[in-house]
Amino acid sequence: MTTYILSCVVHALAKMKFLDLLELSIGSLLDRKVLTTLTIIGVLIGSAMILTLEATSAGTATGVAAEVEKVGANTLIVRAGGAMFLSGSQSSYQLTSQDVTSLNHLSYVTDVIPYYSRQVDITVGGQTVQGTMIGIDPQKLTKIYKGLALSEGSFPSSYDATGAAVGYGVAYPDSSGDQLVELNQAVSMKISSMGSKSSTTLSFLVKGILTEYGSALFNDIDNDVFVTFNAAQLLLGTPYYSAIYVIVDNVNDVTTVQTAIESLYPSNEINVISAGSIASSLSSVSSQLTTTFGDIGSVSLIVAAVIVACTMYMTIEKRTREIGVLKALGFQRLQILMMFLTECAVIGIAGGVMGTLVGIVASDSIGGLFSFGGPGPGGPGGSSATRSTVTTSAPVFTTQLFIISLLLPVIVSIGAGFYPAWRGARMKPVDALKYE
Amino acid sequence: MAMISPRDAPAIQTINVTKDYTVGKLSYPALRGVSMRIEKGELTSIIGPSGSGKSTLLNLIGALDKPTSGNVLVDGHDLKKLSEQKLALLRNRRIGFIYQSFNLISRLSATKNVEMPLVARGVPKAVRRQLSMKALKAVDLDRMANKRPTQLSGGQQQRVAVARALVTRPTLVIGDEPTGNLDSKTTRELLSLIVQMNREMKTTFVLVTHNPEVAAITQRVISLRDGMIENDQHTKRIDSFLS
Repeated sequence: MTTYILSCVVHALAKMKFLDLLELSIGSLLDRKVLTTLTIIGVLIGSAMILTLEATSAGTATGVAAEVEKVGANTLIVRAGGAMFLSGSQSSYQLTSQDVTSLNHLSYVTDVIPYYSRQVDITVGGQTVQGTMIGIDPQKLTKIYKGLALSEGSFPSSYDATGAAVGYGVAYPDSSGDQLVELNQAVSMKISSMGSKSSTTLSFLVKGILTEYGSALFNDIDNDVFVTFNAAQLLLGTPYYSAIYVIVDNVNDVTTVQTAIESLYPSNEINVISAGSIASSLSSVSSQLTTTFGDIGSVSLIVAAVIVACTMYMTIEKRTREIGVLKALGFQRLQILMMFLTECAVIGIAGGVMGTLVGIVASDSIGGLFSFGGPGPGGPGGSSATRSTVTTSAPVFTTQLFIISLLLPVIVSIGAGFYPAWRGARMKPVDALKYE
Repeated sequence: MAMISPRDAPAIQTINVTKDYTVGKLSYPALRGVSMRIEKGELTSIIGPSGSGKSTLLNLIGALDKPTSGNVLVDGHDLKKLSEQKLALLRNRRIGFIYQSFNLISRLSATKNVEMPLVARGVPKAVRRQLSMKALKAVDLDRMANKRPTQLSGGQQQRVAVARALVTRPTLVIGDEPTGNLDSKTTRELLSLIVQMNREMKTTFVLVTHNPEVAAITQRVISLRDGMIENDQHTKRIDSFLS
């Protein structure tokens, strides 16, 4: 049966040259320019939506995964207070050197690195920008942030009270590539006290400039200034840490250590997060997002299919008499069907190609709408005195995605137009010729 | 797919043909036992009042419809035995149509309209163009080849339709009120053309008409009434009518 049908199709089509079929189809589409344009726009939107949403969500997933990976799956972050992303969830507990000591005594822990973090005004060369000061042992930075490296100079020593390493974005603040901060240049940092108008300013000497790194676990490294732990303590005037990094010797022991840490404290005094669990959660969210976006994209294609079907119904009804004339002239049923389906395919191709182009442009534009962010590394005492860091990622375009955004509209258009085309092709010539 | 006809087969033969139309539960007969034979090369008109079955008969002999009973043979081929595909092939190869309302495709130029039967057959573009220009020249419209139907007068459009009907060199041309939308001068021009084609190409013409001018140029007039042949007579064509 299949062979018979295929042979009929081939025979019918062989009679009619493909280019003639295409010419007739395009001619009839151009004859109704407005309707054709509107139909193509409907298909274009479907294709663009699919490409944009899938590329953006894939980019976000990739970007977030990359961010989390920079910190390493064997790193835990201990913060005072409840769950990380719950706003207003603050505990009265403060992290101090005693906590560092307790954590150091846990099994499988290779290093405990406390740090301070605070939003500051950074003044250099007469210009003031906002950034984040991180007070941490600079020698241990590469333990926490995988792949972090210096482009110039060196990390200040652990007890250097005046040395600083600046992020790439601080040294090269604008896209022109002009260097604002150089080695051995003085930068001053001003911290305003919360709840009062007083402020403290300290000057530092730039000992090192980092290579471009991006964000790591919602911390914008490029716009950070790293000073020693003691210098930060002096500037902030508090013994309470923003958070503590705990490095575990083996990624398989992370859960054990996390449980051990949580058991040291009553609930809600601290929260412990691992990069691995964040990655897992974000992967799950990202996967759901991809599915949701895929559903939204599919709905838009369904709408496109309805538009194509409506257009073809209207068009074929209007051309009923023409169908009768074509049949009288000797056109086969299959030839007439192929003519209409070719019109659908042309609509699908035009909508798919333009939708793909629009989707590429839109993906770059709306990437920021689907960014992941956290409340920042936290200020002293676990306060959220640093700005939220927001991670935006470049959209990820794959060959598979392009194939889908180009082919799916064609398949959908042909599918949507099939029934009206089939009905039209099956009309009796005598009935079609009588149509007014 | 070849369509070989017996040499001595008439152009058209109907054997006791009936055609009933069903509207809801009611059935009414449009043709009641019509038997006729039209030889190749004849120029025949079919006349009769409205509802006499003229157009129904035309649709049957044009292979656009099938009879309820009886047989219709076109060029020796029994239409009852042909599949849809073969009927389409027959229409393409052997039958040309001329309609009262011209039935040209408005978005196509005159030459492209004339080419349409050849497109269905898969004739290469260059050959199609040559044949369609030749057909347009035969109807004196080669200068209008690139005009669309909306840019042509009624008479010119009907000439294009004649060219389209003749481009495949059919053995039979069927006209359903071909002069119905034309003024008298254009009617005469069209009828002259039909007579000329009939003489030169030996094409069989069957014209359904209310117009006595049309009947006057034909050699045979078949009258229908109430679905049956009332009269069938050979006449002397009034050629002088055309001058």
